[in-house]
Amino acid sequence: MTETPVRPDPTLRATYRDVDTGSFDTRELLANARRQAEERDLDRMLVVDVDAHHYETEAWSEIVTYLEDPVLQHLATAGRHPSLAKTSAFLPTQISGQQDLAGRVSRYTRRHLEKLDAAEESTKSNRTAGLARRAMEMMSIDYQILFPGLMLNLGLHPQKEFEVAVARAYARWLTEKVIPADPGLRTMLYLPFNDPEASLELVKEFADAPGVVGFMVTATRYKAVHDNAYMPLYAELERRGKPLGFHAVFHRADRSFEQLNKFISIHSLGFTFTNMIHLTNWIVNGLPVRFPGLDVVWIESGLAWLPFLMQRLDHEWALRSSETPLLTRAPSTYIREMYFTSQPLETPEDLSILETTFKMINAETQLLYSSDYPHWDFDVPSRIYDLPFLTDQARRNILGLNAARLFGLPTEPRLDPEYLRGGIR
Amino acid sequence: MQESALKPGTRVFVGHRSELPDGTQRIVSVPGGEIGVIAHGGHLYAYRNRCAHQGGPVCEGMVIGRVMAAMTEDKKMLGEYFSESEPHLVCPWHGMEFLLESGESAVDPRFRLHRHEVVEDPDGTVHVVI
Repeated sequence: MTETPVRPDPTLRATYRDVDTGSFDTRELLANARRQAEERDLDRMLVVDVDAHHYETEAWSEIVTYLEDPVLQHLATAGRHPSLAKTSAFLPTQISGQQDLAGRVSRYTRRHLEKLDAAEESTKSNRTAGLARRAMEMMSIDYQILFPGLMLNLGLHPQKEFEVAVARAYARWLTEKVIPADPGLRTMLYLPFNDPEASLELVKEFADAPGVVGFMVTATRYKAVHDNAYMPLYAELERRGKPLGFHAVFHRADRSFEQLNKFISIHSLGFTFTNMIHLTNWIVNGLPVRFPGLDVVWIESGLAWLPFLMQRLDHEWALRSSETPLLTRAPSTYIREMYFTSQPLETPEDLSILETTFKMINAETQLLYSSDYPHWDFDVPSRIYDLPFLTDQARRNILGLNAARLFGLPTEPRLDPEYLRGGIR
Repeated sequence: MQESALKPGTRVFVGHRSELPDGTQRIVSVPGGEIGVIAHGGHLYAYRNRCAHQGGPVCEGMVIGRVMAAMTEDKKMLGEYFSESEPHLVCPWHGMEFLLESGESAVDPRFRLHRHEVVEDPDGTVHVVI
């Protein structure tokens, strides 16, 4: 250490601020993500975030105005001021208040304090888009696929007509109000999967809507993906070239999970287990053989479950191929042709474990960067950029080019580096 | 200020000690980033405001006691409580916890915050050392 002056040089009086817990601004919270982006020159690289979230519950009063059934719309608003439109009749809830680690993850409790500009504050949908824009710009994300929150458990609603009604209202609201508000936003629309015919109709109606790059099935549900009723849906998606995503989630109403007392337990297992079930059914029942042109994406389960499932299924298939008459090759070979979002990317101390996982799933062409922002375990783009075992091309593929190819997005960055570095407004 | 203007060992002004009562978390801008000064338990701690995990603004997070488990002598769980002697600094991005006194991760030795020396002059002026 060099000698320090006895008296401080007045020119070294730094600027400072005291942490204020009574305000919130995405640009302040993610200031270090912007620094990371500039240090890595991410602004000149295509970055596509295939899984980010908005809070549809914060815009519920707008969404329910799109409910087409007058009885359901009455239910949503009866006896209440529109701003208090109730979600509880529509969206299954559970004990899940520990997402924010008891306030340790500050954005959950403070996000309502964020102020946007007047235009972005004018409607709930504009605010939804405005908050996403700030996060994208701070993380140097050119395109972001938005998913909802509590709606991820809508498949557990006891009345499937509610699932259909909400899915349709949400699709219209998102495609008419939110997606058009920012050129970086895209969606894989929620499918009311408990009603195969309604899911097919939703695909036909919205597949060509602006910003719709695919469709999504939420993982907490009890209707198996290989049910014959879904074949017309898969055929339509395949014909249209729209990927089908399975977004993981958990629900405590699942009896298998009742023993798991802590959030860490149910989150660790639930977000992988629910997708394991659907992927296993998808492979064992030969859906990749029946719909070879249908791309499927497994969302928000991380990656560590895949080496397990590939080895386990291959081992059993070698002995029990009589149960899988449609498969002409090992289950893992079909898995290697699927797509996976990266978050939450595991952090093994021995990086060769992660490197092997990347090799096993053909990450260079099949892995899609995802942030999951603003959820508690989000990943910044530097998680991918900084992996020492990736080639420069693999890094570019995973951060953006794989998603561009899959979803038909431009391959050049959308955001202007000069604007990003000049201070995001 | 240019990056080259500040050599290692340079002191950067934080404020007067009287402005830094317990509970204050002051973020000082320095070339190349920020340093957070945290007043807790009558002491001042300073770390680079960039989390060792994913780079979050760790010095802007909650300071809270380590959560402990209370058991009976025969290993039955009684409940949980906050340690009063082991304050943690929690990164607001992901909730990763660090020992406020040392900057070490509470659980994972791969993650350690970059610590800065805090100098308090007799007249009460406080600086951090780059």
